[in-house]
Amino acid sequence: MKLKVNQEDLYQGIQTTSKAVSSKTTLPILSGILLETQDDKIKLVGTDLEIGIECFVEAEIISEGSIVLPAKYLTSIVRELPSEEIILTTEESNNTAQIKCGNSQFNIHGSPTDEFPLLPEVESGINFSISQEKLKAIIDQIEFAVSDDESKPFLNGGLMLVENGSIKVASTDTYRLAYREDKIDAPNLEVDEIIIPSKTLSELSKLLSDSEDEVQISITENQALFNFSGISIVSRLIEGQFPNYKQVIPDQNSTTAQVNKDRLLSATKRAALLAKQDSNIIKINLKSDKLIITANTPEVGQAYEEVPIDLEGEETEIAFNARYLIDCLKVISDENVNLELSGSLSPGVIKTTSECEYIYVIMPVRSA
Amino acid sequence: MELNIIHVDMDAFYAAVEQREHPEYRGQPVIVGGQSKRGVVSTASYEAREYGIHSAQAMAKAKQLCPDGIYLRPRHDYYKQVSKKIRAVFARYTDLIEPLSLDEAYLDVSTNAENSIKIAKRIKRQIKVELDLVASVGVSYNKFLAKLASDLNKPDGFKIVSPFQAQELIWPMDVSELWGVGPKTEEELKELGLERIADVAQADRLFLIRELGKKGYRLHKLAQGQDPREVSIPGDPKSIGNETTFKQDIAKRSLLQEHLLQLSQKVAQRLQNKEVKGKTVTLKLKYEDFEVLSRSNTIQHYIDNGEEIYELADRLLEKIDLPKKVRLIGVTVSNLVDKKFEQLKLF
Repeated sequence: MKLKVNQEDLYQGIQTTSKAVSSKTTLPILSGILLETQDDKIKLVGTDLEIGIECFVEAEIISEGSIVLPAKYLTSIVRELPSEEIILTTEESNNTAQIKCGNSQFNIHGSPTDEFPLLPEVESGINFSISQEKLKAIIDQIEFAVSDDESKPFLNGGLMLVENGSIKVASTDTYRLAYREDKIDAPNLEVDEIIIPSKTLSELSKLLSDSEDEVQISITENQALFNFSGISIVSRLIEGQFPNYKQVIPDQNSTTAQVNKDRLLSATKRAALLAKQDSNIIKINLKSDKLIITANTPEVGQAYEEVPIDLEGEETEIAFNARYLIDCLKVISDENVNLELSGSLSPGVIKTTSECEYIYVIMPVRSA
Repeated sequence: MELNIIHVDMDAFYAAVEQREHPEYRGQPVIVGGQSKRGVVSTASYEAREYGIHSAQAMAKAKQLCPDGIYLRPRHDYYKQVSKKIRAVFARYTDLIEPLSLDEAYLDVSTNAENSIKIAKRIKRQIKVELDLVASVGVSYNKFLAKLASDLNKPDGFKIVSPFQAQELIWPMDVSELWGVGPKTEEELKELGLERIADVAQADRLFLIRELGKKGYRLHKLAQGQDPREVSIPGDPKSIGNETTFKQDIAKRSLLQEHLLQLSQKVAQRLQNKEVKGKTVTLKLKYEDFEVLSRSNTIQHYIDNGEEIYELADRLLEKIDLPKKVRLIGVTVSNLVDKKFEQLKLF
């Protein structure tokens, strides 16, 4: 194999695929990135067998071939090379690669490509598409609430389904639940519940752009394929039954407070500075015209914050883990949010006011 | 530098309590401690000490030294009650009480307007009159010297160490009298040619720091009679645990599990008494050759019941091969939270 490629293009491709390369793998070959010529491009592939990422980089192919190179070294070498043309030559008889760029030259030992696992072919499943911007937005609003409790694998990912012209996603760690739905331009499409691993969600979020360009999604029984901007991501799906999220979202409340999101977020962040470190508890008091946040760490001191609100219904108070509140407010872009409560022991709900598309349920902390 | 720190140390506490309860034991050598083959002496009365018996000695050895002594099993619950009454005496004079054990405490009386020497004398007298027990009391301007003082005229001691006397008193002493100097540090100091506290006090501070690190700095200060440690009220415990040394080393897993279950239930009881829950369970094993092993596991939620603690501890035990017999097993719960606050769950 011999080819010429622009340093920046190659670096971007390597960075993209290396996200699927696991740093701690039991299979040495998986710590590498596969490079293979295809027509007038190089195909780059990385995988840890749970997720696989494939992308193409424009190149001037002089002779065809393929090789697997260690991701760690390839990434750092290409990153440091000058922004010029790279000449990549491989010697397939002994699996070495020569990387030349300007006055630099590296000879790197690689591995034969036939040991590298092929990404699973996604057989014809259900296909649909959605704009990159939209998919990124809905992932960002639920990804943070995914559980990392390995004893409950079905919570280690986000739920996704499509019904009645809407795409719906949800995640929960049993203490809080994030739910988001959005219109999708396919009135007859039905996609049953799938659980997408949290790593896939976070890599998607990093790689998707804020553009109207579409993502092609294919879903089979145990895999999902995402195609966008010349990148393919194949992900295993998590088996198991996701909890019934509808049951958990309260359908009525006794208190509704409309509050400016940024003011609530800043006040919560400040009060949290004095929330007891291990449990992070803040207390929220809802009065007719204001919301009062207090936090107390006996050894250090107390915090007091006031935020103006429009209140409907009863005055009430509730205690939350401050982090759960901050996590949610950080990913909301609306100016105002509604905080809905039903007493101090029932779940609190945060909704965006523009459309009823984002719902976040937090369980309170009970204080004796 | 005011004489605000008082150290109260009960004389031969467990033995003295037993002698108080049983007048016939008075004047007799009383030895309190574990009575099994491997028991050790907890406390020996001053009469018993004349036979060369001291705490932490093997019980078998004590019985050799004094075959006619009165040997008693400790009654910890009762001593605890007595200790509470002693602390109630302290509480008349200050809130700043730092108990070190059932029979020993530091008091800081700086907030009490009365003269600290008067307070100390009154505490000693009230313990004698109201509880019929003898305390040795030291008064000084810091913890190190107060404790040293209470030790000086034991038993029935009362000693004041003022800033003017401190140097004269401590400089001739052996370095092992410095707080925090155990056998290992003592050896290190002596290898450096520092035998007396005066040697440490007069040594170059930077030299001590170079040789002993942070400890060198602290020892230099102590040797000058300075101790910055404050009397502090004990805070919430960071962990709660229980362990047991077997009468005979155990090889059988099922037997270990039985002990583990019992310990887990004890720990659970203590967690519940303190109104806390924890999410980290640590299993500790000591093999017959004294090799110690500990394994821990942290879960997502907080627990305080015996079965759950046992289940986690047993899972840790399962992963251990047990190549040797086991001498001791223990279980500890840490990462504690106040149960007054409980994060509720959605489902």
